[in-house]
Formats: sequence, C-alpha cells, structure tokens
Amino acid sequence: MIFGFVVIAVNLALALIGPLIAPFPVQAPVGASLTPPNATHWFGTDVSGMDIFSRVLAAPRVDLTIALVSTAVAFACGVALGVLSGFFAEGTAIARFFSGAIMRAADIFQAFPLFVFALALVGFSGPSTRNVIMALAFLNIPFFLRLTRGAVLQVRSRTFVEAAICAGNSKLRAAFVHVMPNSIAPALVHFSTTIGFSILLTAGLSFVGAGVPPPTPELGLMIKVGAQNMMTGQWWTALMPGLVLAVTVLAFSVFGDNLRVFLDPTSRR
Amino acid sequence: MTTLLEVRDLTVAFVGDRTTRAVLSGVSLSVADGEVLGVVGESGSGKSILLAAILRLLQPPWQVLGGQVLLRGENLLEQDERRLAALRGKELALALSNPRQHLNPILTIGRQLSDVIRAHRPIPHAAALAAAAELLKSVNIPDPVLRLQAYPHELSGGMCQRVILALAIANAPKLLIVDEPTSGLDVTVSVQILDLMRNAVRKLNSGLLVVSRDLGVVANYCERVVVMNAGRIVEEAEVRRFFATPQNVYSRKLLHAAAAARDADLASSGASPVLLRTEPQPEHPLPSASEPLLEVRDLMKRFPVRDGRVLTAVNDISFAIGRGEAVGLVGESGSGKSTVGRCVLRLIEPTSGTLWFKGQEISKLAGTGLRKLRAKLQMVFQDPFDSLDPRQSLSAAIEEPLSLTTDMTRGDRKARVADLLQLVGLSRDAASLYPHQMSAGELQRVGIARAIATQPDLVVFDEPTSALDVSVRADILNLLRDLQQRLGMSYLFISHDLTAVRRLCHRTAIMYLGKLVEVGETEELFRTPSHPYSRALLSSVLYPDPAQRRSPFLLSGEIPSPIDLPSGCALHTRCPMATADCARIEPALEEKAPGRQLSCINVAPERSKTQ
Repeated sequence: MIFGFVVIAVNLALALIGPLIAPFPVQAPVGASLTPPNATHWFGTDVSGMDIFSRVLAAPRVDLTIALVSTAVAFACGVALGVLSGFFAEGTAIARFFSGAIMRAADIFQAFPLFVFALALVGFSGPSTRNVIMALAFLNIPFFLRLTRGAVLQVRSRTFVEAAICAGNSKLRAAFVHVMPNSIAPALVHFSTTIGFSILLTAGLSFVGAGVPPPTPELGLMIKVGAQNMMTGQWWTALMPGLVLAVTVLAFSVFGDNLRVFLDPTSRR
Repeated sequence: MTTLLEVRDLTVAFVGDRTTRAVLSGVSLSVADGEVLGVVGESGSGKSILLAAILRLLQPPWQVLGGQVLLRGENLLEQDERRLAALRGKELALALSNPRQHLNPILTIGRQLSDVIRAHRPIPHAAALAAAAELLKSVNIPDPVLRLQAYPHELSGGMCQRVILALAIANAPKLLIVDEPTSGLDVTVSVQILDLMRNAVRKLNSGLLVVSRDLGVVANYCERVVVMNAGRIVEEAEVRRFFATPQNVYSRKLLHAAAAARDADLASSGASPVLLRTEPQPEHPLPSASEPLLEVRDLMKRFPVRDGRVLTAVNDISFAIGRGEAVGLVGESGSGKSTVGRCVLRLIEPTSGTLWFKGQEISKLAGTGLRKLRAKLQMVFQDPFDSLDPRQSLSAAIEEPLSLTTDMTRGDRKARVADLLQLVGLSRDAASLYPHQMSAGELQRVGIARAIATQPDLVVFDEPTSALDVSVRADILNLLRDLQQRLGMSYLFISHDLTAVRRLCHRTAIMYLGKLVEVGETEELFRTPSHPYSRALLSSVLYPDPAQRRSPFLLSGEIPSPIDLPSGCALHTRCPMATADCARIEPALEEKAPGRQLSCINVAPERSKTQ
C-alpha cells in the first residue's frame, strides 16, 4: 500500500514540476555522447548527449498525462455503456437490441490484439499526443464496459432496484442513481491498473515509432533510442528508463488492489 | 421398552491453541426402542455438536472430554473406526436437512442407494438395485425403477429429501437421527416427509431422534422432548407436559416466542406461556362495501422458457380489494402469489388482463402517470436487507419517494421522515445509519416507513416476515396491524405464513399453481376450508401444541411444474377426491356461499358451524 502510494505520489509530483527541477535541459544535448553514470550525469547521457536523469524526471508529464486522460475517458464511456447494456439486458425488444449491439461492438474491438489495434489507430490518425490518448481511450472502453456490465447484471436482480422503482424512480434514474454506485467498484479497481498499463502501452507505441514524436522526453522513446546502445555495452541508456517504467506500472497495480478493499463497504469497518 | 441409546454426562470442548471452551457440559439423554425423542434449541445451543459426538464424527478442534455414548450398552466412544463403520448406516443412521447438498451430484440415485446397501450386506449389484427400488417405493417416489437412473439435480427438493430418508433407512437402523428434517420444504410436502419418517421407524420399531428448531414438528411428532441451551440440557419432559407446564425459564422463553409468532398480544402482555387456542381476528370492522379500491380482472402472466415452452405463473385470476381491507394471498412456493403482487404494481407486465385502481385502469399507464400512481400503490419486500440500497442512508431511503413523487419542500420532507421513523418505532438516530449497521427487523421497519411515506391507499406486502426471526416477526405483524388501523390503508398481504395471514387479514385468497382455488372471510375460511387444497394446506400447519395435533388431510406427491400444467383442475394429480371429470373440466372460481368463492367441481362449502 505504502509502496504504491509513494510511487504514485512521486509520479504525480513529477508530472507537475518534473521539467522544472530537472538539472539539465531535457530536449537538448548537454554533454558528451554516451557518458556512463557519474556525479554530474547520475543516469549517464544518451547517444545524442542528452542527460537521461533529467529526461526521466520530465517523462511523467507526458506519460502520466496520456495514461490518466485516456483512462478517464475510457472509464466514463465504459461505465456508462456498461450500466446501460447491463440494466437493459432484459426488457423490451428495443432495449435488448441495443444492449446486445453494445456487447457485439465490444466483442469486435476486443477480437483484435490490443497492441496491434493501438498501432493501427495511431498509424491511421498520425502520431501525436492527442491521437495516442484517443487510441488508448478507445481501446480501454470494452474492459470497463464488461466489468461494469457484469456487476450490473448481479446488482439489478437485487430487490432494492425494484424498491427504487416503487419509490418513483424512472428506470434510467434507478440505473444511474442506485445501480451504478453499487456496481462501480470493479471498474474503479481496474482504473488504477489501467493507468499503469496505459503507461506501458504508450511506451510501447513510442518504442515501435507510432507514439509521441522524438525528442519528447518519454520513457518508451528513451528505451527505443537506448536499446541500440545496449548491444554495445552502454547499459544505462535503456535500463534506467526501463526500471522507472516497471516500478511505475507495478505501483499502479498494487494501488488498485488496495483500492478494492477500501471501496468495499462491508470489508471496511 | 428397552433403552436403545444412552448418553451419559457427555462433555465436549472446543480446544483452541490457547483456550478450551466447553460446548457440551454433562449432557445425558436416552432413547428407547420405538421412541421418538425431540431435541430442541436455538442455533448455537450445541445440537449439531451432540449429533456429531453421538455418531463419532467430531473433528478437532472439538474433542470429547468425558462421558459415554452407549448403544445397547456398547460405548461408541471406545470403538475403533472399523467397528464404527460397521455400526454407522446399519445400527445408527443419519438423515440431514438440505438434501441436495448431501447427495453426491455425480452419482445416480440408484448407485448411491446400492452403495449403502452393499456396505452392510454382501449381495450382488443387481439385487441391491432391486432393494433400492423397493426403498424408493417405500418413501412414495413414483416410478422407482426409472428414478434409479436419475441424478440428484433431476429431482425436486422434496424428492431429494425422500431419497435421503431412503438412504437412512436402507439397512433398517435401530436408531434414526434426523437433523432439521423439513427446512426448505413446502408445508404440504414437509408433512408428508415427517409422516413417512415416523411410519418408517414405527415399522422397524427403531428409535428416532429428531433435532429441530421447529416446536411445531416436536409437538406433532415426538413423545419426549429435551431442551438444550448453551451446551446443557435444561429440561427433559413428556411432550404434553412440556407444552402444558414447562419447568425451565429458557423453555418458557422458547415456547413464548413460538406463541408470539402466533399471537402477538400474548407477547406484548407478557402473560403466561400457555398457548392461546383461538386466534384473534383483525379487530376493526370492515368499512361498508363500496367501489373496490383495486380490481384485478382476468390477470394472466406467462414467462417464455427454453424450447419455446411457456411457464404459466398466474393463470387467469380475478379479485378485488376494498378500501381499508386487508386481503391475504397464500400459497406454497411456485404458486404465483408473488407474481400477482409484482403485476399489481406493474413491476412486471401482465401478459393479459386489466388492473383497475380507484376506478381508473392502470394496466396501460406508462412513464410519468405510472410513477405518480406508485405514490398511492406501494410495496414492502421480503428481504429487508436486499431491498435497501446499501449506499443510501436510511433517511435518504425514506425521503426518496417523497422527493420524487411529491412537491414537499426539503424541510417538510425531513420532518416527515422523522415522523415516519417514530411511527414505525425507530429512534431518530437511526436516520443517519446505513443498512449494514442495522438488524433485519429494524430494516424491515425502514422498508415499511418508506412504503407508507407517500400515504398510499394500498400496500402490497410480499412475504414481509419470512426473512425474520420468530420473535421479531411478531413485532412486525403487530406494527402492520397497528398501522392499518390508524391509517386505514388497504393491504394485499402475500405470505405462506398462515398464522400471520389469519391475524392480519379480513379476507383470504388461497392460490395453487397460478389459480385462486378458494376465497373467503379469513376466520370462516380457516375454520371450514372447503377446497381440497385449502384443507390440505391448512391441515399442514404444525401448531406448537400437542393438544392441537393436525388432523391429517394429505395430498400425494409434489407440486407439478408450472411449465406443463396438468389438464383440467391443476390439483387433480395430487387430490384424494379427484374423479375422472377433474382431469377434463377446468373448474371456475364461483360463489358457492355468501362471501365464499370456490373452484372445485366436487365440493360445496360447509355451512359455518357457529357464530
């Protein structure tokens, strides 16, 4: 819990002030090419002479923004669609049709391998921060949708939903005021995990050249540039950003697990 | 009669890492040949531990610290596993409740029976199967040879309980031990099972040890009673003496609670625990008959199931409820009574038929009109915990119908919520609590407050007390009666609890497989039920009073599936009075006497004898 919380807090802080506290400019050569870690350049420099430590400090502003915004969009759309498709899974013929249509659409999008699909979306719309966000958001909607729908299907059969309708709620109001708060926990837990994996996916897209354009300080780009030097013995170029990436993803995952316990009113006393 | 089982000074403890806690202290009891002994006590009294100790099934951390369990003088506590295996099933047999869990789901019934038979008798498989078929026949399972091939999931709960009983008596045990034999079964089925059980031990001249929380079962079937509380036997008595003059304080409390379930006046007056034989009617007179408040005409509800077949839950029923009238709707599970309630509130759409409320047809209302209607037509649900939003505080729950269907200001609503809490007997502090912080009884009060918040004309109660403990049940029924008298609402009270209906309702309608079979004034109907199903249902009630043992009027078999309804009268497959015509003619619900409607081609209602 503490580990996840601390790493996430550091990440958020860096996203706010990272570029300001970086000891060197983050997008310009500041020393000799491929200097090993030393007192001046703590993580060494890369092939074009940029300070890796400074760039790692600046990276959360790009990575975390992309991950947070895309996940938030996916969460909002996925939960709303999940509530609708779950709540109206049985009912009039029209309701059942739309509920089914939402699910089939999700099936189709999930049939593509995640990474390839993201690659295609960004490739189609051109590499830019905005397009990466859109692609990741779109990609993550089906996961939130399924999680929420599953929970809604359980919750909607409980009597308090009928009781709410007796109390004068319209069906739509009952769905969003009574059913949604009681079925949102799985999606919330997934929210944190998804941020972690979105960072990973962002880095992956950059790594294959379909992400943010260089020389933006972004972990995937740094790993990509550094990977070529790994072969020739300059390990620090890719290892340092790689470790930061791994720790960040892990932290969000751990945090998500703790969140689940916290969100469950029966396990919290 | 010679002593069959004798338990002497049995002491069992829970031996933990640091603590040792006695769960049975010096328990002694005995069962003679052919005797039926009842062991009663609430959950946690040590009944189950006692059973496990007698059968030597105790596992650590429970340990027997002292005493003897003598079966015909042989101390079971000293026998080794091999001897115990020979005794269990042969001399001592156990029949448990929850039959589905105690049958192996992947073996056929025949295999499970023949296994038990062959464990004690070295006979060939084919002979064992033949014996198994005989056993199934003896517990009244139709087509026994065919059923040998069946798996437990293919049988109904009542059938599984019969199989459990067949397994227990397979080797003609000297002592049969049954644990909560009827929990989860419908009343007309559970009396059949109890009768079977008693007849089986009579035939074998075996002893029967019945463990039950249900004093009705004990009063009707046992000869002696042992009362357990906190691991001790607090009273042992002959059954009539026990129910007439219980000696122990705890026994009196138990009887009191059972009596309270029947008669809340007794509980509130704190009078002697002697049971009242007559039940008070609703005291308030019925307002003179005018235009009915609710009228249900030709209501039909069908659900499509797989393979294009249709489940008929409600089959063409009509009834009316007058202003200020409480009408009970009774029937066993699967009779469609809850579906009727949900149709009346338009929570589900009727397949056909019309509903009229205050002279207006409500079966076609939709949208705002329907939501407005619900302010005047409310419902209280069975499970109070499940029917409240866990993330809504109780005051918010009670306030919600007010803010959605009335124009009251925020301040007025708060004041009304406070009034309502007081009206249902809750303190103001309860308002800020959440459902998981309250007990079931308190939550049901909240459910009632919520339902009456908008001053409805009619409240539908769907089994409002069946999820509650016996003592709480009486309080809630008192509250309901009190509220009806004070506020003049009409009730549609759906329940399988006949005693509750008798106490609360002016008129009662009895339902079987989606049809109303008999409707009449509650007291008259209960005193002189005319329809064969009404007679069977009412005679299935086991009163906790040996002087009131039921006069048996048995239906055979189980309730048929509502998917393939029997032709003609739905009851003809089980009815002892059925004639050839019953399978052909579908009887209509007709007024056979003033105020009494009946749907049977063979009987006419008796004249009410007195009053």
